[in-house]
Amino acid sequence: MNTQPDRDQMLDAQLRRSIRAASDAPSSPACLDAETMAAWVDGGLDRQAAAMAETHVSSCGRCQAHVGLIAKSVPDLSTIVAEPWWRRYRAGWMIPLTAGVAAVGLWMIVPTERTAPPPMQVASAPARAEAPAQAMNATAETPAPEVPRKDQPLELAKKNEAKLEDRQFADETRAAERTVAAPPALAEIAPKALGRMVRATASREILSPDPRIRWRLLDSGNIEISSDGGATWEVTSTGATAPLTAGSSPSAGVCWIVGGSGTVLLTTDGRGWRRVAFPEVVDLAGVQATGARTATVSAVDGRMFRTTDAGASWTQP
Amino acid sequence: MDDEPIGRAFGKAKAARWGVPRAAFATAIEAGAAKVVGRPPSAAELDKHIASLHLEDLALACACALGNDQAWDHFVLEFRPVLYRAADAISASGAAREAADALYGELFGLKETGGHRLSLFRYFHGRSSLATWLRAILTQRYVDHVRANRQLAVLPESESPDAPSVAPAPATADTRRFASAMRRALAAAVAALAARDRLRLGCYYAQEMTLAQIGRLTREHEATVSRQLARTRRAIRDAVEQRLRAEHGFGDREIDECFASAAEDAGDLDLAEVLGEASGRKNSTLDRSIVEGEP
Repeated sequence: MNTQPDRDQMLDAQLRRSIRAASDAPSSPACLDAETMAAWVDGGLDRQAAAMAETHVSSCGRCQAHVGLIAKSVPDLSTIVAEPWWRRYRAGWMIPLTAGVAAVGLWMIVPTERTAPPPMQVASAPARAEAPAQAMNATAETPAPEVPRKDQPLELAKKNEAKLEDRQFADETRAAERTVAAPPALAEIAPKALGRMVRATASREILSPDPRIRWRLLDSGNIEISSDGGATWEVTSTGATAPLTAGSSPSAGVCWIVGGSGTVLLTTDGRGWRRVAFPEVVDLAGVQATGARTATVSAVDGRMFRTTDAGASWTQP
Repeated sequence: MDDEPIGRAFGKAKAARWGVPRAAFATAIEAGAAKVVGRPPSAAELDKHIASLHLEDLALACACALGNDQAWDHFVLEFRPVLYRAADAISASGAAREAADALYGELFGLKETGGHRLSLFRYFHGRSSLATWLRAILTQRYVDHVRANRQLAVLPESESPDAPSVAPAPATADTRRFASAMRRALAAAVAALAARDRLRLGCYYAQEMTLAQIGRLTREHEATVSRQLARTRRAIRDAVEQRLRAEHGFGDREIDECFASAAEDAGDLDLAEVLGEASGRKNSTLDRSIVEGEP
């Protein structure tokens, strides 16, 4: 009787179901703390400590769930590494070329708006005179990540790919934040952009650096968002009861709004608003944000409050 | 305490660029070494410990714990993408992102004791990269959050709106007997495995990690992981069959029934208990194989 494959399949199904159930096991004092877990994953434990960690994790559902997520939290780059290097190289040199063509095209189409769009604000804030070019130079100083070579070992190539991706991601973030952190002086802003800013102020609109995305403050305490440059608007609920007075958008999707009685709202996806805890019940008049975590808020009495952790804490500069 | 190795480490870590006082850096290193050896380390132990550290990351963590603005700017720029990418990889729903955002308060140190902020960074000792440590913290928070929510959300099956309205066919006495024998045999077989075999099994079946991910954890090639998993499954099956024959006197037909009943059986194997017993075993030759390396 040929029952071998059937038994294998049934055993496989049973193992899959049974072992998964064990993931709900409670934690114990023997569970690895995050520092030890990280050291184990990174190979930073000596042999004996690593063996102890492995023995515990092999028997602990909670720690297995933990280590499973750590493993999954690292982007799987196997598909990138498997691709022939010359194909990646060919795509690689097209990126700056494409960017260059796009930049020239934009320069020709929109000659009056060559300056990078600054973070638009409803409330006036002291303009800083740093040229955007400085921000670009600062970004360019970042050392280029190593490009994996064909003859590199797989692990090294993966590490380099990971570094490359992380570096690119960090560079993008850094470039965006530096651009918005260094708004040009009013005189340097093209007249059209200045006009747009004035119009925005008058209608309590907050423009993101992406001209398609903007928000509008409503008297009801709600906020409208437009994703098509103001052609259509969609109401989003904020739960705020105090009047909203000002806003600042450092990047597309991220917007800080302030209002009466210490109201500070933050969205990181453009639509979902989160009430940020503020230390005082004071009417707020303006906000200047440089990222999803960093913003400076001005109160009607002239005091300034700064957060660098998305409102978890505030300091007075 | 010999100050020379710490001085060299201080220079290598470029801790001065963040304004980290040498004494604070030394304290961080010594705290990490004491955690490893369980007492104040000897000079040789400290040397060995320092050689294994991610010193630049440790310096940055020290500076952030001390509230250095430049260090914080650098940390946010360099490590926020790491955290967000990890959060997005863990959960597309945004729950992990919330956990990531909530971490900043703890990293900064919102609680104070005796006028000192208690920053989470003080738990980073440099034994891993800062990125891995952040991922570990994030996943730990996320796992605990999910588990807590699951406990709150669990309803008795009969009260659950998703509970099937049709009751399963009643099991016969034979089916129950076969299922019970199969569960016990399977539990014993899994409990007898080496720690590494159980780890691979858990990672594969419970955590649904890929062979490559398991291989990164166990420092094995994914082909080795695949081979070892197949071997473990064979070993479990052999052990189960052997136990069913020896303890219950079953023949091929009954063993087939046992496997079939296990496939139909809705009851879960109490693997937590099994694994708890297994971890309590001492002097396992299989467990020692971890230290001695794979054969």
